[in-house]
Amino acid sequence: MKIAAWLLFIAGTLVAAASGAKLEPLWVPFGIGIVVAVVGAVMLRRSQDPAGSVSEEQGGIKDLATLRTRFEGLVSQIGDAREVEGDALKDVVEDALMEQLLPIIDARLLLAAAHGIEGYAGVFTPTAAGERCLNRAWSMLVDGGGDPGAQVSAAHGHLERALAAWPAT
Amino acid sequence: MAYREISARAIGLGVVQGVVMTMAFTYAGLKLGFTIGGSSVAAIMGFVVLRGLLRDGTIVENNINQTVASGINTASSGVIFTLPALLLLGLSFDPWTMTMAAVAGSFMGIVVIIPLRKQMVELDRLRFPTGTAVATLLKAPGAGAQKAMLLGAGTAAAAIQVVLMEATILPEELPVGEWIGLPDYMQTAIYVSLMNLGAGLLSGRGGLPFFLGGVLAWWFLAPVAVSMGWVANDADAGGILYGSMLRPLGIGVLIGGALMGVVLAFPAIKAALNSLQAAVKIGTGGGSDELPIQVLYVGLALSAVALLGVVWMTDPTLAAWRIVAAGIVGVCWIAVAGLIVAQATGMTDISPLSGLALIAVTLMLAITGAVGAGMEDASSAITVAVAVGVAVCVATSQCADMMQDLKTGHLVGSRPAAQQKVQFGVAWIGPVIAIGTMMLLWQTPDGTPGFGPESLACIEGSAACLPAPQAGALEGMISGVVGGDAPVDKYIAGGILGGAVTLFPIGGLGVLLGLAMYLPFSITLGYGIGCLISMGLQRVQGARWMEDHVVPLAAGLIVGEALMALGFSVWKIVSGGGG
Repeated sequence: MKIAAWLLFIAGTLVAAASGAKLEPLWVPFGIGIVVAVVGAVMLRRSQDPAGSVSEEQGGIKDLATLRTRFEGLVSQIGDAREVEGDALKDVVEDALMEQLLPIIDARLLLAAAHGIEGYAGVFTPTAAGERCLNRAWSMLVDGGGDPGAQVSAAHGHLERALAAWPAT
Repeated sequence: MAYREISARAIGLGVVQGVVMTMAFTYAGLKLGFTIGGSSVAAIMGFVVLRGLLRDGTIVENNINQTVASGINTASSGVIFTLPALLLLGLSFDPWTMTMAAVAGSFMGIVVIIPLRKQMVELDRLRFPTGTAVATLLKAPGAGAQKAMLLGAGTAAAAIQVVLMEATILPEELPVGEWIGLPDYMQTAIYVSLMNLGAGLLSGRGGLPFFLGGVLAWWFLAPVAVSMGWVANDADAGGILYGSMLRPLGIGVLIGGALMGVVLAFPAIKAALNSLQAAVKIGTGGGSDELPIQVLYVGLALSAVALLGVVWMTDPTLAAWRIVAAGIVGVCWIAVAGLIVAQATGMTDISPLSGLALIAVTLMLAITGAVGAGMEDASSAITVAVAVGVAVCVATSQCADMMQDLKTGHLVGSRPAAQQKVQFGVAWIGPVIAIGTMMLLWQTPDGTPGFGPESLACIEGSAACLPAPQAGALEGMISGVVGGDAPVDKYIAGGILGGAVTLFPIGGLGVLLGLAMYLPFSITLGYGIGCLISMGLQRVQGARWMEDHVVPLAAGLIVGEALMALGFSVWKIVSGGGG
């Protein structure tokens, strides 16, 4: 099924592109090519496996349950980081951004595939706000100014909102 | 202790750099046909002044400095791709009205970006290679010695490459097609640019469809066209394939792909707008992090009024319905073009400004009734069309730049509202400087053209020749459309094709394919090599290694080439246009 969908999409696109590119387009083969390409694309959309949209390289997150668990771990880690200061806080923030958040972001399409764009946006809009607060905390720690602890607290708030918005399965 | 973000010194430094770069890039654009972004150059200067001399500059303060500088100089590309076409056509215009069009466009570009930031930076998480590179640069002081060394190595390598090219030791392109015996019409060459390679490295798998689009265009469509006898296999084949077939089809694919993308991403756009409504209440301290959504609505309304005013002032004899239609269609096109350019830069770092301006001018020529009217009867309609084209081109260049800066801001933790406010404050400066510089370059003591193919310097083949290639292309297109020769069928076919392929479950496929058809293959190929290397490394080394090693190195490649290109532009101005 999936192979047929791929073949239809590729063949339709090639036929439509070639007949559309001619100095005077060949509209009949162009139309046929478009229809075939659209059928292939729609079949591919319908046959999309949520887990298949994410490669196995993404920090070991292969399913929604693991994604959720890792996200809860991140929220908990940021919650604990509110008690940390100085260089230790910088290490915690760097770890949260690179070791925890990066794999979650790479595996985000699992959520989109399972719950649609609206469900995904509900979670990842506050997640992005939290990420930006963590980035700001990191910058403050490097510059030695501002209140990085407040930024970590704000990040925790955003990530808790994201967790609360996680669609029920 | 308060954390310094918006400061008078950051804005002042940004303005000074922005003005200098606008003049330099206006000159470089008339000479070379393209401009470069100024964010990385401004970020380095910010380091020198804010952190080096003043010793207490912050990362986000430097982000404000480079946002201001690039927000000013980005107008240069918007102006030089469009307005000189009127001068080359020998048509007179009021520079102040054109400046008003450019300023209106500049503000519109910022307004349109407000909801797109949420969607593309936060939800689609597009890479924005230059934005990522500048963030890497800004974060260098705290990122550790290894990353700093990789950043420096990349910068040095790209700088050496530019020097070798300026000394004509390195060619502009590597003719790999010729080496392996491919026909000339397949245009298989690699554009020698480590910046281009770096953009591919940063984009990785996400940029691969762009590369495949180039393969589709030049390794499938071109041989098909020649083997079917649609194009004769002679020395002109490559030019006809590119100029008359692939490029116009690619512009259509870009537009169709972007519009279908809006339809498919509607839930995310709705969520982004809802989030903006709510964001005013949830800041991270010190007020809201987001500009209120009302700014978008009011900004769009004011922009429409400004554009109507420009159209009316350019040609008061135009029928009222044509003025209204020109204003409304102009604003709508800016919104669509802003979306296209934001997606294109987000995924590839390349913005198809001139193609979008070309469509704007074609639309305006149709609305003002100039299509097929002939040059003599259409002169005022052409001036109106180019005025709107100036607004569109400046707006889209502003969109591309602002999105890159907002990506940088996200990665260093700046407040989007702070960046957008300063950009609003300085958006008028760039158009004034760019148009002023262009008019100065046009004036010569003997009254002959100062640039373009008819200028004395170009006729004599002197090193001071400014051929204004992009404006020349627009001039040719205007002559074609007014003579009744617009490739509308290609735009329509491309639009349908772009819409269809965007249904494929990879985000932005239509935009990437269209961009690949629109650009010369040499750029796509060089970029694609970067993508393939990145994918191979990611598979072997993993995501964290890529962030630690490839990102700073690729950032250096982008920064180094930008820095040296600016240096050579300034040097050419100082040395009286040599080279």
